[in-house]
Amino acid sequence: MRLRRSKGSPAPAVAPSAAAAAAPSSHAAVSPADAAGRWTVAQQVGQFMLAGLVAVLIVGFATAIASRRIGEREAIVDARTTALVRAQGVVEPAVTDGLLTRDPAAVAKAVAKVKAVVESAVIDRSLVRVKIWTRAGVIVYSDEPRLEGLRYQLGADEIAAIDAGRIEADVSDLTAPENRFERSQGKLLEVYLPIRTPNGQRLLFEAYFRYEAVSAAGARIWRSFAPISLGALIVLELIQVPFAWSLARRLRQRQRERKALLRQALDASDLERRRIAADLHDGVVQDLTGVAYALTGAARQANLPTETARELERSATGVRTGVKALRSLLVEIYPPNLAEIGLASALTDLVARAELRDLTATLDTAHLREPLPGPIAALLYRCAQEGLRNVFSHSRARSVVVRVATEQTRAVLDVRDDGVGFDVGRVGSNVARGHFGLQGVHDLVRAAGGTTAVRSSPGNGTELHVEVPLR
Amino acid sequence: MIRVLIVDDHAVVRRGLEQLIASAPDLEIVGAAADGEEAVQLAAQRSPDVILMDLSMPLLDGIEATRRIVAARPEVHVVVLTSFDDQRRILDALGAGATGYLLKDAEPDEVLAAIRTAVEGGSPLDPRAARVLVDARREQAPAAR
Repeated sequence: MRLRRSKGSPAPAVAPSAAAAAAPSSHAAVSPADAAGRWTVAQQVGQFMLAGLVAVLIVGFATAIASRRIGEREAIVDARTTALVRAQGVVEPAVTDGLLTRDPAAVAKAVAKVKAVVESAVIDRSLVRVKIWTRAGVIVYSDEPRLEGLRYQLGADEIAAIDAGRIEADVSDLTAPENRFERSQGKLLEVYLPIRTPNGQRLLFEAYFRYEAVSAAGARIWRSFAPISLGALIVLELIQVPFAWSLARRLRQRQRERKALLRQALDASDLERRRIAADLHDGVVQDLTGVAYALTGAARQANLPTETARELERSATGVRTGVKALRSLLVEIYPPNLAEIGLASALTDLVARAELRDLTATLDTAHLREPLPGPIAALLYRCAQEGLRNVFSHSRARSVVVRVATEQTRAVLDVRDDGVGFDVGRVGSNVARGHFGLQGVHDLVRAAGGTTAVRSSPGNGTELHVEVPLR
Repeated sequence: MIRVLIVDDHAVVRRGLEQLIASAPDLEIVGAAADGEEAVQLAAQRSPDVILMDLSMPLLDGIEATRRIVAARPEVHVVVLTSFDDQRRILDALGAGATGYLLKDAEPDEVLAAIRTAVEGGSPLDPRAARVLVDARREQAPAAR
């Protein structure tokens, strides 16, 4: 029995001492928990920022695509305007019907006239090639002389453009034979529209633009939009970071408060149990003990009728049996004051009581270095208590070994018996825990960042293994 | 006759022990103290052979009372009779000079026998107390094994 309350002191005297014992331990638990809390907050804010970054990337990508589309459209409109102006304003006045005659001298003269305006006022850095076609597909003029006089099948679009007088624009098919001299230019945009000779013959004017201009327009638009859209997002995120930080911290704080409340409730229940046990022990148990001695004394007085003496003896035995039962109950409900006596001593007493149950119990604390932080000592004690309770109720073991040891960064507890065991693989670790009533212990250990394991096989006993980090 | 002093702060326990001891013809009660200070006083005045000592008491606890009594009269045999079976109290009490250690749920005859054993120069120990002593000894001298 370990009832530490001094009989002379009033009941409340228990509370301050227990509170004082609990205070350093809970204080010791705060600083690592604090560090862990800060780490979690940083993690959460980091996640938030990462999500923001992904949003920025997605919006940036979408903006780039949209910018390019708008830029292309603009650049194509520009190209069509340029082509229209140069075809009708510059080239058409220079085109003569001489281009269509069969007289080489007349053709040469007409070509020279067109060539003069094309080279001086049409070709430039972005407009790199000009072709003038008849409706039949003959190239009557090009700034690439090797094409002149050659005939290719015109596409439906091109014929439609001539017939309907429309301006069309398209990406050049550089694999087509009529475009073989443009292959070195890279991607090209071709714009074609009809022009007329002085006699009213329709020709197809085709201008090739470097595609770079189109891409550049897209990039230019992206450059003007990106800072606004992305900048706004980044600024928005940066503004939100402090809020996210404080929110995460508040959440963390709330969690910690809830944990503290839970711990207080547990402490309070320990305190209450200790008080009830102390009261029972100092009152009823003492009185009954005294009564049992008195009854025995009375039974042994001289000149009592035998029957009376026997009755008194029986009563004495009955009272003593009651006292014993009451005392073992008190031991069960009474948590030891670990801060006062230390874990090794408390476990010694716990294991000693196991020996009263016809069980050889051994305690190994050779590698236990005390003092341990209060909450960890309490946790290990509870694990040992539950483990032994299981050995008593399930294992049919003849001996049990309780080993507790501290290593550099963790404390380890083993409760190993030589009982009947069971097939862990078959019932599963969780079921094993549930069956052995260890779920509560498992939850407590996990909350402290540790692990539990139940190892067993039929006929080979059972081992409860607990590991708790010391920091 | 063996002279016995009873020390316990519970009146019911004192009365019970008085009645039990009175039933043994070779034992004689020389006094009953309700706390450690009274025990020290009565031990000096009544020269008992054996003191049945409770541990947790007001004013002066059983361990300190034992220490003072044994210091003043080394021939007195102090037998602890308590409800506590924890390692530390057992070691403290024996360290303070007690020659016996019994638990209050001991059978009445065990209590009476313990008083006689103490006088004969023996150490009446509850098995749990004996084990604590053995373990403590082993821890002190592991090389001796």
